[in-house]
Amino acid sequence: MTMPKTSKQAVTIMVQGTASHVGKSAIAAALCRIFARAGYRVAPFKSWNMALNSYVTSDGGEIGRAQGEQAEAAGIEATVDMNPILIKPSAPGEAQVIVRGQVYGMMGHTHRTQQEYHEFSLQVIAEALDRLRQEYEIIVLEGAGSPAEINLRQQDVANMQAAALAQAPVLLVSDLDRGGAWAASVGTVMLLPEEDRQRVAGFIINKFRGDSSLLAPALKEVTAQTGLPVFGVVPYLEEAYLAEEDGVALDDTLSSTVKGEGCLNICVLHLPHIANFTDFDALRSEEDVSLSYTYDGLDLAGADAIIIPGTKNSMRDLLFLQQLGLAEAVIARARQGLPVIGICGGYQMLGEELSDAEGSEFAGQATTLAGLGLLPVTTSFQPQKTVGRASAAAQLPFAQGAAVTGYEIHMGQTKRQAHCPAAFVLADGKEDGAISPQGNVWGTYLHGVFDRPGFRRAWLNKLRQRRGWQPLGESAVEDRAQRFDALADAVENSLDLSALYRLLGLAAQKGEHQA
Amino acid sequence: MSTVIMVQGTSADAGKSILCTALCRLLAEEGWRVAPFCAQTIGAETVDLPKGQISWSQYLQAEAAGVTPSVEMNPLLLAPLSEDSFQLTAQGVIKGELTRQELLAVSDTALALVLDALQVLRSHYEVVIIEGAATPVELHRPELMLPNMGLAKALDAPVLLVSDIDRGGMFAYVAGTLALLPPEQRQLIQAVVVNRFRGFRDKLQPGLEMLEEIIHKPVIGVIPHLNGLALPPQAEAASAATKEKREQSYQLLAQTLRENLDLSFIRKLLPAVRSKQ
Repeated sequence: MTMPKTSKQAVTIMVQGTASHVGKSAIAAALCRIFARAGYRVAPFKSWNMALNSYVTSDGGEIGRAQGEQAEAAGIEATVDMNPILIKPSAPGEAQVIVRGQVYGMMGHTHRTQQEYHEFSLQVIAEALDRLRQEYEIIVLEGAGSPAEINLRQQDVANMQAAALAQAPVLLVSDLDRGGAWAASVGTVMLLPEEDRQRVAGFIINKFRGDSSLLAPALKEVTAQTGLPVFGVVPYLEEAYLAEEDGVALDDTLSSTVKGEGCLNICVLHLPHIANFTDFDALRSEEDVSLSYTYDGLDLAGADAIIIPGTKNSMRDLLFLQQLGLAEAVIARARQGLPVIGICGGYQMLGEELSDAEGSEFAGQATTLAGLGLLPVTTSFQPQKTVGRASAAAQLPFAQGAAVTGYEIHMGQTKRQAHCPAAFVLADGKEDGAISPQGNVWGTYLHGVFDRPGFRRAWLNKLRQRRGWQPLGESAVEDRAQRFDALADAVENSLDLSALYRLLGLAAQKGEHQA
Repeated sequence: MSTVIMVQGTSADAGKSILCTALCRLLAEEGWRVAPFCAQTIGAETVDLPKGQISWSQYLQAEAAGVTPSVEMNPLLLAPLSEDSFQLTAQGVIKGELTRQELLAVSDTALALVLDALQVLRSHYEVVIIEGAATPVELHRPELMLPNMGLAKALDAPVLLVSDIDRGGMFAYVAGTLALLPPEQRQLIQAVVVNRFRGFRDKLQPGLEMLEEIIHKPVIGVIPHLNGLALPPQAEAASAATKEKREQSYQLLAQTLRENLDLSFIRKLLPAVRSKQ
């Protein structure tokens, strides 16, 4: 019997995956919740992240969305240390490097050599991790992609190099639903060099559905091949994978949700550089909404509303809309009175002009483009990024005074013409967004504008009114805390928790002696 | 006797179907009479033919090959009724509901039926491109043995193993799949095809060479991530316009293989002498 650890440094555990989208983020969030419920101070950590969706911390830094949610699951405030390096793709072959929440430079241009960039990254990661380990008792690390990319081993700071810095045992998660999980578990361990293999404590088989009586021989075979235990088989949890985000393959996330008759058709333009598309998850979850992502102008014919989403590159995506004839289609529909909404980059595009004197959108080339001309605003791009969380009151006639909360991330500044009303007034008194003279077109910089049920329902009821349909009441929104608890319960019931606590050298409840 | 080439995958969505479609078109363009085949599909989208249903994937593959789709191209269809039971349709005839145990108990009969259907195709065509199902190492799903290594062993078929690199972990999926196969099944796998690659080929190359050394099999192609393939689900496929778009997709697929696959390897699998021009 040993006493609970009392050293200042937090103990660590790392969740790595056999591929992207195996459910690492959800498992890490569940572990954060499980440890927090057991009384431990726990924080999430992902050394390096590549993602289009970011989470804005209260001090105005950007981190991966999953780490933001994991911090919430752990019951703590997210900080930039929890994801010290974030890579945000902006155009093919281009990406922003965000270090400790702030834009540091463009990928490939921050350091003279790959070696210097690598050393810099490790330094940043080690320092962030150290600060967290001083402050918390358990750190739940998450890897990225797979640790067995044998051509990228030297430069991969997201997986085994992070595990080495943190001296963390690794749980390897695989996705049974997609197939190949047994092979991927065995193959990943096979391909690791000996010192990395030593760090792997065992497997978590994720996204299981089917007949559990057939699992035993498979589990036995994986252990026989690797000498490593399986910590648990976690069932497929439909709602748990929303914040799953590593890699830039969006095909799954941007899938349309088309429901039957009697639903409002909301079309989101599928921009090539679409960003922060989780803005629309709340709409998608409403029973009377069919949400589709489209770049086909024909789809707009049956739309009840068109949304131009946020983008990592407003200028290029505006050109894309013009080249495809989508710009024309949107303008025509807006003139007929159809509601057209622009979020962030989409808001910029709705204006009369976008000018980029510094060339931040077009790789150094100063450019001015005419917008869609649906809102009397103009945007100029500046190297300085505006990032922050905001709460605001709506000025839109259908939801006068309704509260919204969200966050801003944008390079441009947008000016309204004198007669043009703002769409929102922020808590600090600043105005945001704009409303067209006819009122059917509006734009805002606020990501997450549809997250609050009151505002969302008011807008949807406005769309229902255009159809001559009765308004609906606010949907019961599942409490986020409940969602984290349900996730934690499911994972807790599936894992050998006592083995996990033994691995960490901790008691299953803080203050108890370790069993 | 005609040639068979089988495609198996390292995950359910590795790209088996697309690779089979591309091979069907490519070989048809080179003058071979080629037909698609999949022994057994589970829960697949189906299309009605005069003699019964086949999966939409084999229908498209027949279209790509320029041949008339027939019920022999997908002789067994399983429609899941629960976690543990299926409705079985064999060559267009509904055979009824079977539990997994019952299904496994009749697997010899099922294999014989599959081989009969394949024999019909082999008497009409010079090459049959066979698609596997999910992966050959779904250790908890014994019903997948038949359409993968069950059939491959019965035919002593050369197998290409296709793996999706886009989600990461490709090296591990390939190495692990081979590691979990018993030796007599592993030796049927002739080569690996990497699918859905985006990135710089020369950065990938050293990794491929390392992989070849580990698995003792060649990597014979790296297929790029293809955008704009117009091979939609059947529900959207009715109009003539979409048929024309499909035709363009088949051409694109064949061209993509020409540019990214070691065709000499495929040609070595084909008969040296054409049976009939």
